[in-house]
Amino acid sequence: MELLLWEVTLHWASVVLYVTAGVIFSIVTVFGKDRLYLWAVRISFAGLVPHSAAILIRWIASGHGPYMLRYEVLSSNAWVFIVMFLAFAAKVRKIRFAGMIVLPYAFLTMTYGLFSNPEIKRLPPSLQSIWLVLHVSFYKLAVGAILISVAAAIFYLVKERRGESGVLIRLPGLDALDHYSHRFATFGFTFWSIGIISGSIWAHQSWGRYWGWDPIETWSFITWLFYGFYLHMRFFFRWTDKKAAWLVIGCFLLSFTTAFVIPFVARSVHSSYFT
Amino acid sequence: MRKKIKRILTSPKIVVSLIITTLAASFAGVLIPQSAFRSAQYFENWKADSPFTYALVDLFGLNRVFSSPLFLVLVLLLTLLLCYSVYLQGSVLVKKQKINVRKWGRFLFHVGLLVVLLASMYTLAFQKRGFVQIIESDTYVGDEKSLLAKEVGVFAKGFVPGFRIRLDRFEHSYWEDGSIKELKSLITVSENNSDETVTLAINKTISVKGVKLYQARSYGYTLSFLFKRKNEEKFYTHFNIVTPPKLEKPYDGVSDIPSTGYILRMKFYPDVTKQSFYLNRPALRLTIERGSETRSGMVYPGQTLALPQGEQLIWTAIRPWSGIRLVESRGTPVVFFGFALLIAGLIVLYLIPQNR
Repeated sequence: MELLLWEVTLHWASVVLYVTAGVIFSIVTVFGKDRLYLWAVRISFAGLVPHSAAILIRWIASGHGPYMLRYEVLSSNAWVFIVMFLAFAAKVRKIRFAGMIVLPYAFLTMTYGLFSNPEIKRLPPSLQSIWLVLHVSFYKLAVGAILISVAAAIFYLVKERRGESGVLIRLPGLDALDHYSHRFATFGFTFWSIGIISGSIWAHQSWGRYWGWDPIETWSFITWLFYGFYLHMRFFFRWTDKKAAWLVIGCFLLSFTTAFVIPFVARSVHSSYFT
Repeated sequence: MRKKIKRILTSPKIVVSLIITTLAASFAGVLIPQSAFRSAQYFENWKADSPFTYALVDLFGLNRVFSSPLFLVLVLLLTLLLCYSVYLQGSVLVKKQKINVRKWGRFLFHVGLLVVLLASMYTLAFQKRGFVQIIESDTYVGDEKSLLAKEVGVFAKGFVPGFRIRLDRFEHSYWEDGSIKELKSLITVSENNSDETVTLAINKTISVKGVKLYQARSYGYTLSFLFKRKNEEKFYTHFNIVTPPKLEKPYDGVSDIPSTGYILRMKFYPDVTKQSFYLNRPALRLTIERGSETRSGMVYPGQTLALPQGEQLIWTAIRPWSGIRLVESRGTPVVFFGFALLIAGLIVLYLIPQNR
């Protein structure tokens, strides 16, 4: 019990650090205070320390990874999004503007999770499989990638509408924003595909059926098809402007609906992990 | 004509239109209630409430989108387009002297998708699935009529597994919150005079003569009764009661005693002293109905009940039963091969850094 109290405290400590980092990322992007950029990164890393410790404590206490209930799922999602963003931002410094969207998204979903039921739910036998780990991990990576992609798409739309005025001059050019949006959408598509496929193999191993048109499966398929639509429009019709940006936003909304809305509203074999 | 067909098959507008149509069909499949996920009563109510809407939905198969002929036609068109696209991409790659990694990735992805679609259609057409409930120490003889539920593809000729399965022991364990921790069936599979004893569990399957055996999630207790008529004629009857999903819920069951007109309503308690899934001090709250006559009371194993017409019902035994799923789906490994190609294609196409 005391251990779980520690876990909650550590979670909240990380939220405070992420909020601070999010604010600094915004200051860097809006006011061009480049010297603060390193501080934003450092504070994000500092937030990852208690966050990782909290996840680890819960992992040990529950005996399984963070796959069950909103509390664990949203916390681990936020962790993956922030790690992914920091990893990419370290390699491609120009995408640091995405911190203004990724960090707030991560700490808001995490906080929402922290207010939900914190009880530990044990893994049912069908979820005791390595395929679960792959299935869940790749979906988290996919949503993380599409989050960075959608950040680029949003800034593309803003910059395209307002031009090179004010703070927007500090953002990468339209071509670069479109390139990042597309690049991360392709990562998202790849990870989403692997997520579907690993889930399919797991379903076959567990239920003897690799596809059953379960509502969440179908929503996942719809998201995948929409990604496919976006990629084909780019490939065939050279949609690289604001139409492409809107399609990326569509991909994000669909992936968000699939992962976080449908489990609440549809009766599905997948619902137990989230509700 | 040939040129026209070629133009249609390579038209980007056709490709995109088919993707949009598949998207629209899938949206219909999640937004309109589907027969696979709702009870027949739900559709009866819908039909009664708004007959015109229901008739329209039913006419176009929108209440069974993914098994409707229109969806099949859509999948066939997609497959046709993919075949041609793969052929064209392949011929370009063969002719090219210089290796274009991105084109190879795109080719592999589309080949993978094509393999998945073709193998899935084959699987769907020839698959055989069955479900049996086997009582501990009883044997399923491997025939078709003993399958409690069956589902076979359009081109599959029935489902006769052809081997016997004896349930030697069934084990069920739970977490402290009462949720299932593990289900295990120790079974002996007999074929051609050879016996093999294996353990079946969730996520632990075995394969016999191309049929995969799965531990199902439904299990429970079989209550056996001896029914004695006034003329001393007697017979045994068994009722399989399904374990409830939660410990707080009772084991409920309703059934009739064959050719007697009696209806039994049962609430079974594996342990009458506490809420438990394990047999300790079993008891049964039994309500017996025939016409307007009703009798009810608590019954214990071995106890005899006198029925209204002078018959007797003796509770003789309680044994666990386990649900076992049998699946013959020969196309599945090919589907998985398609998955591998698809992922390989995506990795080559999008994850390997390339010079711009």
